[in-house]
Parts: sequence; C-alpha cells; structure tokens
Amino acid sequence: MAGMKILIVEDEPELRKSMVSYLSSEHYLCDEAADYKTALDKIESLDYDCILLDLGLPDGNGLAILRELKNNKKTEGVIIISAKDSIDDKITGLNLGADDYLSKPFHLSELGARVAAIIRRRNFEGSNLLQLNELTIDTAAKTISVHGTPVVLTRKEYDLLVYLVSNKNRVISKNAIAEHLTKDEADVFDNFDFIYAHIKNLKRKLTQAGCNDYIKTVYGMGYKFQTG
Amino acid sequence: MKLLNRSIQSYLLYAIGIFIISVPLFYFVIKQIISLDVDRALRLQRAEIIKRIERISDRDPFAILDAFGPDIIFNRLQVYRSYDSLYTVKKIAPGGNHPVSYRILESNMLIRGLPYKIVVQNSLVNSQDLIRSIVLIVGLLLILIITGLLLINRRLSKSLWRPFNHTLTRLEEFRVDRLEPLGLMHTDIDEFASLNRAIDTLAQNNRRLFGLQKEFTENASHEMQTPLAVLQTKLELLLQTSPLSEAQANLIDELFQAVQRMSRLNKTLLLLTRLDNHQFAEKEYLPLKEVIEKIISQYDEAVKAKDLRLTLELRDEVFCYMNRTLAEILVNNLVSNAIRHNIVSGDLQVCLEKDLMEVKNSGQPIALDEQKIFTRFQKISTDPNSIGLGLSIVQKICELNGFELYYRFDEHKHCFSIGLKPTEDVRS
Repeated sequence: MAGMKILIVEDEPELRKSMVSYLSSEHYLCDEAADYKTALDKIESLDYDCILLDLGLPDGNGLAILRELKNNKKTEGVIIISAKDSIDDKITGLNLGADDYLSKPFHLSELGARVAAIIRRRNFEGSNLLQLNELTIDTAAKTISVHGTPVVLTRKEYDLLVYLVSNKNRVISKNAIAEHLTKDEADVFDNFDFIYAHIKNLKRKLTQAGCNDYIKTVYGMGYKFQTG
Repeated sequence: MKLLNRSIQSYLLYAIGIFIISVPLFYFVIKQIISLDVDRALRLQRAEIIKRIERISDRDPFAILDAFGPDIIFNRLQVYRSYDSLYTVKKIAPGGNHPVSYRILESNMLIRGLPYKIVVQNSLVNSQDLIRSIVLIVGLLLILIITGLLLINRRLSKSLWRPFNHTLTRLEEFRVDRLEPLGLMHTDIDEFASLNRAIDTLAQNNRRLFGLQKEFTENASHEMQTPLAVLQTKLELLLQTSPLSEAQANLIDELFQAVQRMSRLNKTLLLLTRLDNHQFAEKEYLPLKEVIEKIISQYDEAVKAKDLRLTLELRDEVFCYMNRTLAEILVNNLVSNAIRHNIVSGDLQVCLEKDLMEVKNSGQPIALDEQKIFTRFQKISTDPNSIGLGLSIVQKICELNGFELYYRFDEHKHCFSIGLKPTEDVRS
C-alpha cells in the first residue's frame, strides 16, 4: 500500500491535518488542497489513487470537482466527505462517480478502512488477495486462510479483521469498531462487550490455525493489529 | 350561540312585543273610530229625516215615514219629554237567525209642535267584519315581517359571514411549518378586511420567526459537524501517540463517548429540522415487512448481547406509501428504544398487521408518562446514550404520514402502536 497518492480536499485546516497525519502513518503520500481552485489545479496536473473530497468548500461546491473529474475521464477513487449528511448529496455524488460517502464527524480508522478498500479495488484488479505474512485475505470471496489453510469466520469476524488490517499498527477505539460493525446502531448497547466477544473468537480462530497473535488490546479501550 | 342569532334575538323579542301590544290596540282604536262614525251617521240620518218631514209639512208625516225603511221607527208620543240616548243591543235581524249587534239612536223630538219618538238603528255586522278583517290583515302583515326578517337574517348570516367563516377555516388549518399562503378571502366589509389583514401579518411573522429558528438550528448543527469531526479525529490521533498510559487511555475513551453523544445529538437535530422542512418528499410503495426485517437484522448483535427473546409476527403484503428513509428511521427508533430500555433476558415483540404496527418490550415495571414521552429532550431513562429525541422523531414521522401513534403499558410490557394507513401495492 505504500506509495499510494491521496489528495485531501478539505477547507478546515485542523481536520485536514488530522487526516494527513493518520493516513501518512500508513505510508500513503498525502497532498492537500484547501479550496476548489487548488484542488482543480492539482487534479489536472497529477494523478492520484484516491481523492477525499469535502463537498462544502468555500469557493465552490465539491460536486463541481466530481463533474470535472468525470468530464476529464479521470479514474481516481473518490470518497465524499460531507458535513451535510444529506441523502440528496450522497445520491448525486455517487451518481457522479464517487466511490464512497462518509459524513462528518467520522472516525479516522473508518476513513482508513474506506481508503484501503478503494485502493485495493483499484490496484488489485484480477487479484483481490491481501497478503500479511502467513495471513491471506481474499476480499472478493470474503474468505481468509492461514498458511494456505482456509479459516472459517463469521461475517462480523471477517469485517472486524479487514477493519483491523486496514488500520494496521494503529490503535482503533472500541467506539469506532462498534460503529463500523453495527453502523448507526451502536447507541443501543449499554457497553461494548459484544466487540470483546468477537475479538476473542477471532483471535482464537487465527491462533488455532497457526497464525501469529497480531491483535493487541490497548488498555481495554481499543485494539491494534500489530505487524511490526 | 351565534353572534347573529344573539342580535336577531333582541329584534325578535321587540317584534313580538310590538305584535302583542299592537293587535289589541289596533282592534280597540278601529272599533272606537267605527263606532264614532256609526254614531255620527245615525245622527245625520235623524237630522235628514226631520228635515224631510218638515219640508213636506202639509201631509201626514207617517204617510211617508214608511219610505225610510225598517231601520227608522216613528212613534207618536202623548207628552213630550226630552230624551236622547245612544246604545248598542243584540237582536235578531229580520230574516236572520243569529242575534246581531245594533247601534240605536233613540230620541224624543218635537216635529211641528207634536212630540215624536224617533229610533234610528244601524246594524253593526258590517263594521265588525271590517274590524276583524283589518286586525287579521295587520296580524298577517306582522307575521310576514317577522318571518321575512328571520329568513333574510339567515341568508345574510350565510353571505355576510362567509369571509369570516372562511378565515376561521383557514386559521384552523394554519400550520406554522408549512409555506402555502393563507389565502384569505377578499371582502368588502371593513371589519373583516382589517381582521384578515391582521391575521395575515400575524401568520407571516410567525412563519418568518419559525423559519429563522429552523434555519438557526440547521446552521448550528451543520457548523457543529466540522469542529466535532476535528475533536474526534484529534482524539484518535492522540490515541496513536506513545507512550500512552492507561489513565490517559481511559480519559481519551471517556472523551470519545462524549463526542459520540454530541455528534449523535447533532445528527438527530439535523434530522428533526429536515423533517420539519419536509425534505423527505420522495415516496414509494413500501413493503413494511421487509423494512422491519432489515432493521431487526441490524440489531441481532444487540439482541444477542441482552439475551432478548425476539418474537416477530409480521404479515405479508402490507404496503405503505411513504418515504423509505423515514420508514426505516421510524422502525429503527422504536426497535432501538425497545432494546435500549429492555432488561436482560427480556422480551421484544414486533407485530405487523394490515393497519397496525406494534413494538412491545419488557422493561421498567412502571408505565411511562404519556404526556412526556413524545416531548423533545424528555429523557425517560438515565441511560446516557438516550438523548430523548427518538420518540419525538417517531411522532413527527407519524404525523407527516397521517399515522396514529399510541403508547400503552400492558401486561408489564411497554407497547408502542402505530395505526397505519396501508395502501394497495400499485405494482401488483
């Protein structure tokens, strides 16, 4: 994944900084644009693997950038980031060729997972295999194997593993995991014990298949997939 | 009582009073006038007779007296005694069967020095008929006037008050959150015209203020999203720093929870303003069973975590013509409430019938206060994850779709039922 170029179009400097900081630690090359014009200039002169696009730019609607990309037959993966959380924007954006939609506020780990998914989709055409030492994840068939031996995971366990791997070597809070696994329904839980149960099962299945114990608990408040 | 009836009541009382007084008064006055007239006629008749008798002086007066007809009687008197009297008697007229009133003038007179008694009489039958007719006509006229007044009044109340009634209907339908104009009727009546003007101004002001308030909420929520995003991402970055002590990790975790709550609250507020703005106009024929099953499947984790007994009684082929997002939010809020406020190993039942959807759950063994549960920010529980907006959103969605929403506490279960407005699926 290293060396992938990402353009972050976001007018709020602090948010931009956070995104750059988080994504850079995954060895993505991050470029920034704070307004419509800068973003257009950069898109025209460079090729990116993924563009994170804030729709509410001060000098023009982010949707205009999408239209520009489409007109120029650019094939960058685009994730729309919007403060509006409006369905109209989402539908318009996806119709204009955006690949994904994330509404503010979001978890950086969620952003990381979405970016990873887009880059995977763009760069592993034909082969959807994600190799991490002895662990292989087939993102097309949604199956995994350890040392070539298939390991059967539940849907939730698989989602959890991909989420952790997409944000490897970074701490992911239980909150972010809960929201990722249950979407908007995370608020009905009194606690996040169910995450603990899934993690425990996942760890057990992986180690039983002879996989290293990559999943680390961080003070009971989060988890980390540690490869290094 | 209607305003117009109140005023007509006074008129009516006055008219009846006049009627009661005027008819007898009329009767007596006319009777008096006629009687005076008859008396004068009798006297004139007598004077005429005497004059004629004196003119034909050479002949016996009695020879011609018969020519005066039956109503005049002459009698020769022995001695003259001054006498003059007018009176009324009842007697049977010649050729009649019933006694009839007669006015009689009886007087003693000296004609050419000889004393005579002269009686002149006049039947009152004609005058009495006249009086009766007059009184009858007057009475009829009065009745005609009164009924006419009432009828005119009723017609007036329809036409005159039409602008007012129209204004009233429009006011009853007035919704501060809708944009359609009030459309008050044009009227020539000054009072109504100024009333309409005042109401129009009032409505416009109300709508403007409501719009401003809505706009403020929406803007505030939007503006809040970005700082919240900054806060949340910075916390995540803080989480990546090392060394990180357990105490610091716990602090970050607690901050996370607070940010989450705030952003949820914010999103819900945004949703409410969008509902108020009618931004979910797109409708489709929704199979409700599918919607419920989809939402329930999203909660399987939570249902398992609380070890809830889940019972679904969902009827097929129940369609509602509504917005999909709103239908999902509606079901979602009811189900998530039923899970959140449930007890461990409790019950969760969802029923769908032709025109009814019910979500039942076990929980606190006391009924909730119906007055309060649908109020915004009225928290029923101490659960920090509950922000007290879920049910008011449910209520709002029901209101937008014309559904009825009820709450009851039945057999130790909290039950929210929605009276649906099902439609036939047009596709099938």
